[in-house]
Amino acid sequence: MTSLETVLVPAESYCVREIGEETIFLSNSGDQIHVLDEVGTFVWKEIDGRRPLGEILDRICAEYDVSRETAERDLLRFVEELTEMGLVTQLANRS
Amino acid sequence: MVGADASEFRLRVGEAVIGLDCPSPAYAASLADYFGGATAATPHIRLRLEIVPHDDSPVVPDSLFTAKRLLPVKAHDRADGDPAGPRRFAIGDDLVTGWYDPDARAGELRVKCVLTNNQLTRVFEQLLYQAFASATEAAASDSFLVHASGVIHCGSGYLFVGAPEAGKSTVARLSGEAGAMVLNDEICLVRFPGAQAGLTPVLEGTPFNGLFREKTPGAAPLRAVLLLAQAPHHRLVPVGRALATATVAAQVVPPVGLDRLIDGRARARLLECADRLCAAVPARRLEFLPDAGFWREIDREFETERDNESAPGSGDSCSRRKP
Repeated sequence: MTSLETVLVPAESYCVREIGEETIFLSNSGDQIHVLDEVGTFVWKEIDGRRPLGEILDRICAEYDVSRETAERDLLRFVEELTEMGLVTQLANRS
Repeated sequence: MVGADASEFRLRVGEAVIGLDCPSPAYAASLADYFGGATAATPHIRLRLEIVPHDDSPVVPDSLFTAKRLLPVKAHDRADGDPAGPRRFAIGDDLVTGWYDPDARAGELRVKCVLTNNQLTRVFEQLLYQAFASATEAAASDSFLVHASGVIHCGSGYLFVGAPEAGKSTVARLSGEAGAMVLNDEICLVRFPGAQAGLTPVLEGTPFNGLFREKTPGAAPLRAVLLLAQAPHHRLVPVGRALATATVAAQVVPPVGLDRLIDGRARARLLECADRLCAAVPARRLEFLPDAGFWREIDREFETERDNESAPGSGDSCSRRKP
């Protein structure tokens, strides 16, 4: 289950290109294309295979005018979407 | 017109010319007939084409790109990391085998005859898309192919992009009925002229065949990219650049030569093609009904003036666009 201790690893099965403040992902199979908006791109750039979601949440709250509760809810939901799209994998929660 | 050798068929796609050394003059002539003619221009690459009879019933893959595998070579690496000399490849269950040497700009294609029957011609064309990529590299042409309808209207090119069944052929047919010049309803070419940034890309037709057979060779500065969406109305809707790029990218023909596979470099190049296109010209989602009225929306959006009110069959009349 995703939590703030979860660490995300970017998938290597996509080709990535930034377009302005958004990001496009083209799957290696060529049959999937995803677009992340500005906020999604901000989160994506924070994913490095080492940083837990809690730290990413801290950075979101520092960058955007949003309550921590709202940001946490939206972040966890977004991470589930990224996982379903195959853009990230979740490492075992850091204890 | 065929080349000096009657068995040679020369196919021009944009700035690139592919020379096919065919099994016979009759086969070369049949290709010229299918592709609407041949060119006398000197080929940038030359391929020997052999049609192979066979007893088996090979499975024909949907994609001659993803079903391709490069065969092992024993060669030192070139400076760019690719093995030197000819690269051997095979597609599917040896449906196609061959080799291509980018330094010699020559190669050979051995194609099982099942792939040359009429129903599979569109699959066979995928082999020529790869030959185009090789020829484009040899010609140093900055261009790529895209699954789209291309239409020239009042001197400007319009690229209609959509997935299969989105309406590319319908748009082509309606545009032709309204008097516009239809370049192609299946595969178009986009070319970036010169090395300067900011130059308007050029939309060109290609000899590849879709459902609309009354295509006309031609080229024009590209005015807009229109992303097709069938709807109960005609409307142009602004589209963000990233979404437009992603939509176009899904329809770009992989820029993969005969000696290459779809790898990370090819995918990055594919995204780059789409990105450059959508950075250079405006993109809109075209919500349209199956009638030519969508041209009024396009005219209104892109400030094209018309001498007369255009209606289906009345001709593509228009005055010069406002500066």
